[in-house]
Amino acid sequence: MNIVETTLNGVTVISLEGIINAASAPKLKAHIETSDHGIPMVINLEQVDFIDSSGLGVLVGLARKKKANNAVLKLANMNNRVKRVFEITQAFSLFDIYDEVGAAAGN
Amino acid sequence: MEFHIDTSAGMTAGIAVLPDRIDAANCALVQQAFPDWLKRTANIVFDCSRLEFLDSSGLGVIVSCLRKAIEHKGDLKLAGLGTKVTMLFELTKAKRLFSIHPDTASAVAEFSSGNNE
Amino acid sequence: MNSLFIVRETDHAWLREQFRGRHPLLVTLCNKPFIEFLIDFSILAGARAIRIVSDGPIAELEQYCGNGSRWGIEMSYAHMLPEDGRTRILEKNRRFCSSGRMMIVDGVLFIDNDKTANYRAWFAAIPAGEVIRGDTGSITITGEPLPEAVVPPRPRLGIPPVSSISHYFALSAETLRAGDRYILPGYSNEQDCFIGRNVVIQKGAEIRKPVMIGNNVQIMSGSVIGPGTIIGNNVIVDRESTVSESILMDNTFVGEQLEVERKIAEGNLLIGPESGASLLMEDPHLMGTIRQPAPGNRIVRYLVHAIAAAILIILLAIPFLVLRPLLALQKNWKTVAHSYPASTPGKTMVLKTAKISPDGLTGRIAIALALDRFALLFKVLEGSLLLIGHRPQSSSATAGVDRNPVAFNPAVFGYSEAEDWAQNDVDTMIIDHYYALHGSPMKDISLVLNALTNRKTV
Repeated sequence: MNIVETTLNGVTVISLEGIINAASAPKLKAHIETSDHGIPMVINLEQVDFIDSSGLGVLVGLARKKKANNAVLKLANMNNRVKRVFEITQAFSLFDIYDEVGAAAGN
Repeated sequence: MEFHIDTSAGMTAGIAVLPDRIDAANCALVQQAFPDWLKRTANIVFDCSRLEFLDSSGLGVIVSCLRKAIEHKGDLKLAGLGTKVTMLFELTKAKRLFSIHPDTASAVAEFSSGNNE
Repeated sequence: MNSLFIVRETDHAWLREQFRGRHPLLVTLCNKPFIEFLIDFSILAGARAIRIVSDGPIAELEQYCGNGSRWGIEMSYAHMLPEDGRTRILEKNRRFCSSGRMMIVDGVLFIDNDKTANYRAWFAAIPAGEVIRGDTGSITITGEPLPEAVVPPRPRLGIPPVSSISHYFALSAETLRAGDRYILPGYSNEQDCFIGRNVVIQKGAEIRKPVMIGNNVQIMSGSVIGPGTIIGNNVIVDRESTVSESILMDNTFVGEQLEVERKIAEGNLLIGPESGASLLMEDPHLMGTIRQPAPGNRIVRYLVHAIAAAILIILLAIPFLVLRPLLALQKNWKTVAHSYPASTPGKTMVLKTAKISPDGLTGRIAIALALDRFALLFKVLEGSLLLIGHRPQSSSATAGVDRNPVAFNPAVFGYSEAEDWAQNDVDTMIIDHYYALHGSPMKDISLVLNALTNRKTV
């Protein structure tokens, strides 16, 4: 899984590519641990094919850390398969979900 | 079950207070008590204000009580039926068999105005 | 033009309670779910794509509507949070809203309209703004109208109140009688008479218009399906019964010689719409629910779990027989009985587990071997629990949040025990639901092993 980090409007945008599963989730976790938890962050899932329970675990943990620092975690561009995982686990209630990175970054 | 005679409307009528449930388990109690009440008067009112639940055995017993009352040239009227029990009576068409009243007073009053046929 | 349906979890909560857990938009009016009426109207109004945005679970809706190909449109789905206002919702769906003209249907269950009127021209020409508002919802148009378009006269448009069962009943009767204003399911050679597929009307049975009958319905001899009746799918009306001015919902059985007048019957529940009272019929000869047969893969899962549970019972029998009396002597075994929701909605079951504290070697071994749940393993053999599934929750933290349409499978171990990141009840629920959907009987066994090895950290 590839991770590309950029900035848009002063907001960190992390674009992921590939599958987020038990194998790749630790990589994502490690990358995020080093970022500043006080600033808003958008995770762009446009190139993410699938996410499993460990991947969800990383995102849920990150959302919690952001909340504790009064910052916000937004997710953008989920495909149908990823949307379904969020739907069926009701994890969607923990995130702000956008269909476009620009809107998520507050254009 | 409580049963007492009421002569307030000028003639003898019996009022029996039914319990909150009449089902397969306890309907025999009503079945057995009814003939004793009939010996005292053939004009009987069932006070159903406490009745919350009735199943088909319970309904069957009440209908057989009606039949017995009619055989004794009297009548069995029902008073104070709740909404749910009324729905059951409507569903099983039992509603048509009975003279149904909002309270025991109007049931007893109807006995004395000689309207039962 | 695109159409956005905003569906809030708290809207129409009464419908969810009355019709036992089905999504309000999937409750049928005249045998057609509310969502489909809304889709019909959007298409009449000229929409090419519809998106449903909700702050609650929409898997059921998505399963019913799919990608919209059935109606020749594109359907998509998105999530919002309960606190989001209109502006935030539009931001979250900016890509969808970028096409220009948008019709936003917010919190509406039913739109009174006439399929013969020209909504397309009217919606294309009117200026942006709120079009109509009802008790619980509204329709708004955003984006610029066609330049220099003349606004035609306003076609028939209303948002009738549907906030109680008596409103539903009245709307149902009115819609049946206004059959040609809507597209209603069923074949009808005559006006006011809609009949579905595989309908058997025995000799001696009578049908009086206006009437609607769904699919797979049997009307036995001597019955009269009176005027103003709507019958759903998979319904049986037994001999000599009369049904008039009533609604028989799907999967309902009505016994013989009964009279259903001005009622709604759903399975074994009889509802009086004017009084709002409902009566649960316990005698199956009077009314009952017609059950669909259980799918085959549930039997495979039961067998796999039962065999695994039997193996666990054999392996743990000796430790249990040795440690249980020891722990009782040390006063470290406390049997606790709790009542939890069962897998059939509305029913509860009582489960007895033991509370063991990790003092001393015996206590810690007992916990590591999951002896506190030993008694529950027998319930797996009898089929009332799975070996691994949703850990029964009696906590109220998730009670309001969890209305997931994925079947609830109470079990000895929870899926969340196989993972190590769950920190609270919401996390637990997320993992449980994930595996309920993505699991398989064999995967379940490896998750049970994970759950057992994780116990050392408890």
